[in-house]
Amino acid sequence: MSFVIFVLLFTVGCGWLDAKVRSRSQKGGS
Amino acid sequence: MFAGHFGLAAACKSKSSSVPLWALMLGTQLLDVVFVPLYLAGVETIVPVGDGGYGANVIHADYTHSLVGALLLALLAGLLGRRLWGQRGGLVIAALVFSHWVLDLLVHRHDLPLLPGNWGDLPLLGFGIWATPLASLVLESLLLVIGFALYFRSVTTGTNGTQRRLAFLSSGVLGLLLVLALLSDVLGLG
Repeated sequence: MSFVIFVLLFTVGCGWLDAKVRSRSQKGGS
Repeated sequence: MFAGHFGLAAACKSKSSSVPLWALMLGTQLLDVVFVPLYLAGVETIVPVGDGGYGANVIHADYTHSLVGALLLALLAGLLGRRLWGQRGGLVIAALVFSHWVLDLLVHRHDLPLLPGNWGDLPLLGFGIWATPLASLVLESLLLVIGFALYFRSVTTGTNGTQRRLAFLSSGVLGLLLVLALLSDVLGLG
């Protein structure tokens, strides 16, 4: 059960935060 | 060792900016993700060894974790990855999906078959590091530390202001989850 929760946290949570950082970097760089 | 796989995905992100982190995280766990419904259906099983604690299991994942099964899943994921993120993205995804089997080969007891369904009753594979929990813990911790360090460096380099704070937040959440995943793994909650 905790495996499923961690997969969700890593994909959705970390994935979303990382995408946010990258999009900001691109805006900052352009 | 599900925490170690996440560590490898974090390390991968620092070198492959075109593939989103969620895809790398999902890719590195794809074999186990497919394992879940087969486990619930009773097709693949986990048999505890002794107290059934950290790594104390024999896992009969004869389809998802067979060598050929893992290669097939890696191929399918790689083809999808190529459509979404180009040639290099596809290769990264395929390699990451298959890396799960390679890492499992190091830690599993002799329970990884070559062919799906252990067809032909060929010898089962696994170097069995799980039999020595401390060695397994060191290996997994190394993956986490290296993965986190590479991710942290890649995401914070050249940032400032709000962007830097966001990069620290992203790294912090990733680091915290990696530690929690390892704890969950060690405590046998995975």
